[in-house]
Amino acid sequence: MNIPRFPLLILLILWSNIVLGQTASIRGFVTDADDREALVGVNVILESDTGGLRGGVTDSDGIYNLTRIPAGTYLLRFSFIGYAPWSDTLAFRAGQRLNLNVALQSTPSILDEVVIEAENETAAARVTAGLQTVNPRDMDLLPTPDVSGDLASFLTTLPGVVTLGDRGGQYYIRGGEPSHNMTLLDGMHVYQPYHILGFYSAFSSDIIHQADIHTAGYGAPFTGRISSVIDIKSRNGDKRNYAGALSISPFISSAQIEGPLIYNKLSFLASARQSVVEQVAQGYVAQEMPYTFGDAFLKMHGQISSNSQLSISGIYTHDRGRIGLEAADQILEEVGWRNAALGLRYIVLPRALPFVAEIHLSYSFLETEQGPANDPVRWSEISGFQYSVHMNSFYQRTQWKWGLYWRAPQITANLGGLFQDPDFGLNRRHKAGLYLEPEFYVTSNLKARVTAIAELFPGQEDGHNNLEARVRAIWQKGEHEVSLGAGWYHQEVFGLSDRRDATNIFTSWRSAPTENLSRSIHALAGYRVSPYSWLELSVETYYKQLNDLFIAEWTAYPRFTSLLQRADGRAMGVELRTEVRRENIYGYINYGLSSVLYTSKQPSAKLWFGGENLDFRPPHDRRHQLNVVVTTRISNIDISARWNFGSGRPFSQVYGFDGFLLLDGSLNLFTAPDDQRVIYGRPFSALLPTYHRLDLSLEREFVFSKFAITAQIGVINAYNRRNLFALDLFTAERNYQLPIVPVAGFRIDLD
Amino acid sequence: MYRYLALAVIFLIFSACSETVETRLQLDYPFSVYGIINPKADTHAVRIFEIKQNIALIRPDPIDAIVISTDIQSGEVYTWRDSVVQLEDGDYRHVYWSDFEASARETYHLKVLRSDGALTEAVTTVPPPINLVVLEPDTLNFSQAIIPLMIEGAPPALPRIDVEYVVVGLDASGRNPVFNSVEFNYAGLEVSGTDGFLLNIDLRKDYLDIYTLFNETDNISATNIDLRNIRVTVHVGDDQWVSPVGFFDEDFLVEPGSFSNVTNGFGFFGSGYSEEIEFRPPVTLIRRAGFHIPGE
Repeated sequence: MNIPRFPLLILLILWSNIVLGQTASIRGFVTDADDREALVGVNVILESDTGGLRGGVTDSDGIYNLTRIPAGTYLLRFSFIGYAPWSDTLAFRAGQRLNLNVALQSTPSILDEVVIEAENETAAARVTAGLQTVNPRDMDLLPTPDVSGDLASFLTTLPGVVTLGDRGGQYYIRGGEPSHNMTLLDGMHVYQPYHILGFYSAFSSDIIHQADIHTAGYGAPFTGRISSVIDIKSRNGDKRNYAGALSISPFISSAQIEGPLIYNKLSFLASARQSVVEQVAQGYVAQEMPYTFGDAFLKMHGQISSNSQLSISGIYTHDRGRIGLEAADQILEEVGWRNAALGLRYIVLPRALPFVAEIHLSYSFLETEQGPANDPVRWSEISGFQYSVHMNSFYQRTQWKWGLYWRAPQITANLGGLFQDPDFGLNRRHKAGLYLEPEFYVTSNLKARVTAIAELFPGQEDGHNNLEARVRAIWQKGEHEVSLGAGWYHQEVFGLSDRRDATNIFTSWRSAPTENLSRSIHALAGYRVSPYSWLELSVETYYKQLNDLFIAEWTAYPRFTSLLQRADGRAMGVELRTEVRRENIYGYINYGLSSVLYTSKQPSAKLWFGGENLDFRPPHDRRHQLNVVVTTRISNIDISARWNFGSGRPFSQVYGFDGFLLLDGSLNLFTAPDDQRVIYGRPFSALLPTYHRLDLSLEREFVFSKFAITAQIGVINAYNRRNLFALDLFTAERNYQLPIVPVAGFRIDLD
Repeated sequence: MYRYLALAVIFLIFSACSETVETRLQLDYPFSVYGIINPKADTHAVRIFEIKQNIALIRPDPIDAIVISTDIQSGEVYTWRDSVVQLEDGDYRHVYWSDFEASARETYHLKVLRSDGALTEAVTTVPPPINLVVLEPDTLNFSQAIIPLMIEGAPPALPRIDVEYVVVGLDASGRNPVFNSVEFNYAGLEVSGTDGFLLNIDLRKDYLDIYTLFNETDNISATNIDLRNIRVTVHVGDDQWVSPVGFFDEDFLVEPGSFSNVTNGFGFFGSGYSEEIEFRPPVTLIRRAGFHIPGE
């Protein structure tokens, strides 16, 4: 039966109006009165003259929305830690829809009344159904070789995040590979957002407003990645005052400026960072550091009207360097990548409709290349437009999200050089989808969210439709919280890299065969408790079933192959977090126990290992990971320390090297071409040594009338642990991570 | 307090040391060997690779290897000579060679010795000769265009059979002739019989493949493909020259030991030769297969 869709939408809107017409609603944006930045997690309470309460919290855009308010007189209160409470008495008529934007004034006092706790309030142990929300303060607490914090450094403190070392920019989140992770900045895809030196990503804490790290079990609108999502919202920039900052450290220098373009209406935020590793750090670090990287970010944000906002964001990153060791007869190749993304985001609270609507358009681009300097012999590009519309409506006991999206990633690759199977081609993969995600407040303690997603791959002969379902439930009472989550996920594009060699970080993007998209199923359960106001404990366990992963074929050739082999896998683990928030000391301890197992399906494996299925632990299967972070303030000096421990990761041992000549006939042995060959042991059956490192930093801010100077001194790898980054299996040379590195830097903030 | 601090410092100092990691597994094999004793040639060659602990380009300097072969039946012993060859890509290889005359059904024992006594060895028996005969095709069966080729004799293995079509097409302008040869691998398609093996060369199927190939090539026209000749090369091997997966695919056989008859080493040392025949099929079959006949 063909039902006309437009009249259906009209009916839905009319129904909404009729139902909601009997009651009133109020919504708006909550901002900081000083700079008009959106405030997240503000408690909004509506108290009737009979004493009845209803409330909510502002979302990442500072939006609150209270609906189904019976006509009457109410006291509306806004409260947020560090801000003066705001209240007003309002009289609602039946059917009235009120838009009220509120600016809260920051105060140094601490609010002692917290009526409703925001679900995504930040804290190191505050993980709910796989979601951890991070704000810039969390990043700034960590000792890094820069005065400003960075998302990359914070990620490495998470118990489920594995890196292969302090360079390469490869992050594995709860068993997923780097290309299984989705990173969004203001809704734009940033395909490879981590810089070549592991302390840095494209996101310094100076530009981040909030980052939601979904390590498993995430809901809509996140589709197209099977492991995790990092959803970053950038700051909007100050709409009232100009401000700027300059900083220099041995690794990176940065500049930032923000201010109003139209006072109180339109702001901008511009930030640029450029590595100075080769110019500064290289001078005193006892290790070659041939790395160049940088990023630039620009955002304009406007309050178009009292009920709508528009922002335009753009980001550019570049990385280049040589990873690995020089060896006889071996040219150490450079690897480089460039990201670019541009996006537009429009948020409107329509006066006539009970929705919050978000329209998003963006374009993202990534180019990676590898080869001799300035002469790449292989490269891969992924780019594409993305359009989406997201709607969010609030009712008394339910919240409905739904939306539509269309994505068109385009992949081009030229895998020349020593790649086994040179591959050149263009591949475009269109995807259209819609989702519906109601969240029900089942009881005052229990809420449940259900997600349904339908996707089409138009214009592709063998394209299959894709359906996904996800659920999440959170029970909260007093200091206890229990959360459960599960979901089905798929991925249509993936990155291919040579997992035999950690120093080979070149990633070629490919399209999965449409009949067999990579898929995963997540299941997780967590418990969180705050027995005391200063102590929070959480435990979360997860399981991910991974199917139809496409990985590079295992081969004895000493080079990357672009031939694919199918693999299934599973990742599971348990994470324990303890966070202490005392007056003079803040710190947390995270421990993660995990196991990742892949089963690859390669016809030749039967000949080599006795069966077509080869079970192996991939190189990111780090079983144990422990992070300890402690910060305190003594005599106005912020002191922070971080100790990170990781058990050894799997690698493949080698018997030796010879040559291989395919004797399939009477060849001329004097002229026939052959290949070098690696005589591997069973893949990934040995373990690298454990990894641990202590970083320390001391920071002091000096405030003057027109500016402030923050000075930092610190030390990376304080006890000079020789942590192995990678073994060059071909030469048996060891490539170590950074030795002890003293750092000093300063930052000038101009107001 | 200070005691704990001191313990912590001591712990950190000790933990600063890196742990050992063993990157290499123990392997006593000294060499990988790839060689052929060819009864139709007066020189036989074997390419020797030292199995090394690290990957490196092979140098033209002498390697620590002595290669000798023994004719098991006659007891004759030959010492092979090292020659350093440079391949097209510029890399050097050590190819040992000997110029004795090998006979069919003789068994040869190859030994590659290192000065410390390590030994890699292999044994091969030279296959008997074969004879290639093009049989009379069935020109009356209009549904097919098949040339039967008889491989007379008792070859122990036929690792490769190349059927090469020498054709002339026209360039993209349609005016200038372009010579081309297209090769098909018929290995495994031979059928065993009392006098040897029968190979049916399917001209029509091959024509369609050639047409498709030319059609996908920019600088050559797929119309008017003129067949000049067919050249068949049959590679005969000893009884060990058999792929464990039924076909010779380097992606399968690259794994060390997956196709090898070498003891205490890797590689393959066999004996074999190739036999070749060239012919032009009857015009009737050429036309029926789809090829263009000049003047028609």
